[in-house]
Amino acid sequence: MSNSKNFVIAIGGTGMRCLESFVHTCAMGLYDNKEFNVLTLDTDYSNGNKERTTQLIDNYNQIKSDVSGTEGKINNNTFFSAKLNLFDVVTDYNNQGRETFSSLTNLASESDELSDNKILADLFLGEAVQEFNLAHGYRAQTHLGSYLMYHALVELARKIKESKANETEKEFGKYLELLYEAGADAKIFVFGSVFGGTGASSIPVIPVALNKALSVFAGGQQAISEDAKYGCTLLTEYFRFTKPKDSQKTTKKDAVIADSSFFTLNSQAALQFYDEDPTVKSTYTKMYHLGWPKEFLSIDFSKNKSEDKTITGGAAQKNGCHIIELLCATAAWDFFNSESGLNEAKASVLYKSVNYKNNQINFSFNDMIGDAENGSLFKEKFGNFVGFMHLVLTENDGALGHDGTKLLLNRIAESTNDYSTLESQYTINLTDYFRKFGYSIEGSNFNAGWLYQIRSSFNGKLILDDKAFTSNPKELKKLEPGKLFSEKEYHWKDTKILGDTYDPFVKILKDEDTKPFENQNVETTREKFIAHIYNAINKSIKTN
Amino acid sequence: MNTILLFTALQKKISLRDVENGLISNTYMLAVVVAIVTLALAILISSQISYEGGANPKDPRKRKITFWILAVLTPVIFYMYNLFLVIPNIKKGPATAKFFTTSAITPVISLVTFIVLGVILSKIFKTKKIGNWFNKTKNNS
Repeated sequence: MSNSKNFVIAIGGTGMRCLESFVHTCAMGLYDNKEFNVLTLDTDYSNGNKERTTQLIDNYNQIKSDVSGTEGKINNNTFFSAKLNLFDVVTDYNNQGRETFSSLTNLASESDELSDNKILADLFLGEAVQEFNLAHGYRAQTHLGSYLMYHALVELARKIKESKANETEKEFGKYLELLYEAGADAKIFVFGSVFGGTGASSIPVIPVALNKALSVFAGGQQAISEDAKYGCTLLTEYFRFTKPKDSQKTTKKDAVIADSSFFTLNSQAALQFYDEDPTVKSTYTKMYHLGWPKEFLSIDFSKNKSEDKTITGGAAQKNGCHIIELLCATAAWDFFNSESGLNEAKASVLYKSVNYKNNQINFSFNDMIGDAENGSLFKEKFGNFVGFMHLVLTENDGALGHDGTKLLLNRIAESTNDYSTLESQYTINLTDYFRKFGYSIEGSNFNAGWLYQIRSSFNGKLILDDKAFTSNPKELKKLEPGKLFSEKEYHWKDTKILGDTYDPFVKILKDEDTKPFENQNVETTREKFIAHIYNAINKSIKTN
Repeated sequence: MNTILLFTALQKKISLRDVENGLISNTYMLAVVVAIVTLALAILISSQISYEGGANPKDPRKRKITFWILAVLTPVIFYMYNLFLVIPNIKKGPATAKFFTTSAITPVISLVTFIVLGVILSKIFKTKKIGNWFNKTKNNS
């Protein structure tokens, strides 16, 4: 069992996309020697964003684990260095008697119109709020959502305690045990928005809800340490979608639908709440405030979709990624890597700003996890991983449906048999990961993966030269994986006449001294192969 | 060496005694030297062929082709050299007849030398580009 003290909790659709960015930063190797217990928390089994993120983590773990099923280890100074343990919790609102607040709380079956319960519910919740279908989340009704999320976690803990939980639900019990075992060293980071439904409802209550759930689970004998550190994102609105039409709200179950035109107001109210609420201020240690400039048009999740009505959730809610979600992931990096401010009694709100002009933001590597050494670290990890992606997808046609990783492996196989046991399913998995990370091309369709989606979510520059993000087939054919930065000093070694970077890279790849080092702590053949590529890329950089 | 003999021969046709005493052994040596030189050329050209990416990289095949083209050219060049530059300067009659066998064998010697050395070098440096000369090309993705 894991003995990690690091916990990540992603809640709701936005939380899932932030987690997606977090996983990619793990793949870049930004979390050397770290292990994370990741909890995905949603109200919706079929949510597209959730499904995409859990598949991504499964893919990540397939890349690290060995063919026997042995899980990968924590590695150092390589790609995919962090170990991720996924736990999945879904508050079940699909079964009969659980679809609405009134049915869940048995209010619907109460015959007395003036019962205490009914009067109390009516005092806080309008009739429409009590009757809408919860399967697609809390629909921006945070007053209801906070109550129900707290209830859901405590109810789940009780089910596990009373041995009524199924195997999936028992995962939550394991997560609670890990939280307890981590004691005062526990570091818990929560991803979610403050302007929507599920995430916004859950962030304020999650520390107390987890603690109560642990208490119920352990029969009142255990509690999360008072010295455990909580961090979260305070992510204000950055996207919009089709405004719900009145015709969509005719049934009771859809009488309440989130309206993105209220997101600014929701954000304002939430920030005011976080600034004043004593429970939040005493439970959280660091809160990272992230927002998107009003001058920039927020991303339209309904664009290019033929939606005649607002998507409330489900499989159809599979929205593109945004640069702000990467910034949320970098906030998590700061939380897990910086000790400063962790012993304050009151929550501190952290933020940083990025210069922008002429409606453009130019992100440099110093804008992500800090400047100086941190900036260099991000530059190296990010640049190298994007280089690796282009080696697989662009240089070796992985984006076109070929197994680009296998083609790279073939090159190494010309010099060593160390990786001869790597089976084709493994190389397919790694190539597939890069398609999710970067892009794929099917016929004439260019499918943007995470990186290309965040790049196109704003005007300006994202660390690398613009040509590193081209989707033009002719430009992709000419793209040099070793010349992704505008700054020449970060380029890879090239052939003097043609300026080709792939040829020198392959030569280095076949060198004996690019084999994994002991301090990289790689055990499985899969991890060793990735460390080998990491070393070759590092050695290819002119200044290294 | 043959070059010196050649210059000498330009002034005076090579006699049977010269053929027996120096030309034959020098020609054998030259066959080996030419094989080494063309092999060096094959190494140079093969090293200049860049590694290619993609589902069907053509660079290993290009290196193989380079090797075999030069393998074929080596005896041809050497035979032509004997035919056009050496034999015309040998006195007709027994001297030419004596050299005839050498002129036929030495191109084969150069070919064998080229291939044998090529195989040895390719196996020694199998991780380098010349390793492609006798490697099976991997079936890709």
